[in-house]
Amino acid sequence: MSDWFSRQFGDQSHFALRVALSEDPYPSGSDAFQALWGSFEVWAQGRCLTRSQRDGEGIANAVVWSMLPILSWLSEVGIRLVNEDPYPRFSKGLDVVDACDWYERTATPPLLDPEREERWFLRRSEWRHHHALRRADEAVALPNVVFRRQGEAVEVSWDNENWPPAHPGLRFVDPRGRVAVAALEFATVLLDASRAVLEAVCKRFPDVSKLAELRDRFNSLAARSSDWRWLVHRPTAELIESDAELREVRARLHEHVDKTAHGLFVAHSFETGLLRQVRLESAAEISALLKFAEAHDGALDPAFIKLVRPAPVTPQRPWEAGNERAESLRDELGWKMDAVPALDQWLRQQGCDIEENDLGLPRYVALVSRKSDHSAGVHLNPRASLRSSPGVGLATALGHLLMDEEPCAIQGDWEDWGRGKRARAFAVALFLPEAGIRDELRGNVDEDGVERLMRRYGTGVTATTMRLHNLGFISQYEQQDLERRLSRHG
Amino acid sequence: MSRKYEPNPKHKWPKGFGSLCPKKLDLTEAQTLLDRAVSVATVSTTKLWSVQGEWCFCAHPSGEDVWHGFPVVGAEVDERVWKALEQAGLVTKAVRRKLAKQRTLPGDWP
Repeated sequence: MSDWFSRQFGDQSHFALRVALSEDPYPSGSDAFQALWGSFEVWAQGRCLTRSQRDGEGIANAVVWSMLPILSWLSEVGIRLVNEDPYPRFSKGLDVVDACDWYERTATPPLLDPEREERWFLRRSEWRHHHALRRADEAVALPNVVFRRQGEAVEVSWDNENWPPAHPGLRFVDPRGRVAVAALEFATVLLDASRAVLEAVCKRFPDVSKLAELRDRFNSLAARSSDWRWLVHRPTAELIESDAELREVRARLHEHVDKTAHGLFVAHSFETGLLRQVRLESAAEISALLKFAEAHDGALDPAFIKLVRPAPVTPQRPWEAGNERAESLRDELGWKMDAVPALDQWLRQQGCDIEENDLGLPRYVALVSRKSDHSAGVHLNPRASLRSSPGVGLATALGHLLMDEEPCAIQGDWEDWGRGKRARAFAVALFLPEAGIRDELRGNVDEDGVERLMRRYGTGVTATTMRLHNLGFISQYEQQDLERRLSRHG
Repeated sequence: MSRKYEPNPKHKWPKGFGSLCPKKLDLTEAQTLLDRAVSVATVSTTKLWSVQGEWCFCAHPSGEDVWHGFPVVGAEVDERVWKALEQAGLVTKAVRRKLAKQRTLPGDWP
């Protein structure tokens, strides 16, 4: 099978598509289907996600099929694929690692009456249709790859381990993983590849009208002013579009898209970056949240600013970076094995605004807003039901301030898995340094020792036992047992 | 006009590229699946859907009222299709919910 077209779009070490077109060995289907017969590869962070092996055969990088259904699907879902950020409702509270995991974990519906359950499954299926490569065409043996916007990145996750293709004897080589690629780059590769392939095929088959229609569709495909709505939760977007109280927000968002949209891609604004992390269902909530995030006027101390070192979240084991940053911060601040000082006072001394009043917002734990390099505010929400102490909540906020690339973080049901894990690990490691734990326990984890630790570092039962488990000093069963026994002591 | 099933080598052992039909599925069974397949206009105007046991199938047109088909893993079937299959009496609610969680093709053709 010789290729009459072969080209790579993008950089394999970031995100790339390689498309080749050739003769259909078993001609069938429409003229357009046959004209676009060929193969394609998907690359993300140096991994070929389409690499597969069939029983008794060698390894192949490409999926062999017509590009027609793939391109038709992309023309339909492209804007949402690139921009839709929050998961649908009822995902909250789930410790969802990535979009593959989301589909897996939502297979069992929440507790709903039959009518609402039906609606939920339709919504879940609709989300999958707009994000999972396999939904491009059921006829193709495709890897289970899901694309989902997350801030200014697109998370590319795959699970071929639990979700083999509908082609017995074929396995995709990379079983499970996730990477983040720049959303703008991702969107540009998709659009450039689609347009170039269709341009070439229309030139070779000028009489196939369906190809020309698809080419024209791609040539006019671009994000519109209202496409910021995919970046935030659906009810929040509907309110901003319709509520008179929010007309200024709406105008700012439309203007933002008009100025910054590029092809399929819509950049997050300060507002959407914040609103994607909490599901708000009233105009008053939206106004209150934006008001706090934009109005705080803390002027950060230059010494504190030097401690702020934003870094991308590593997709695998993000908590390790949190643990390491906590240890290095202790060294930099000379805290060594001492207890952390009262964090609310300490953060205020650093110039950080801390708001503890009820702003009338839903039950998120804390909101962290770094408006610029020189200003930061934290809202500790009194409505939150805290499992950990307010101190650990503030330390988590500090973790976000020091490590996040994004200017805002909201700890709660809709937080980013990786950022949340990293910041929480930071908080617990900051309060409970490993060296101090070893010093206090001296090789023996018992109730007395753990109580001494809690007194020394001012931590609660949950945070302390979780830290011991995370360090590998006790099993999960021992953690639960200790937590139960220590809670009885009050 | 009645639908006619014609197999497509793209979905057949041993050299097919796409979703592969069960080896033991014969022409009569495939025609029966096609005869009772439903169309779901909100999903696609050119596809038909059918189900037998734990196997879900999709059919695409190969020509004028000529169709070929292939199996689809249950979890990849659109919920609107499942709803239509239930309304057509091809699956019960309980079977629909079970098959919608299916992550791999069933082992053997019934």
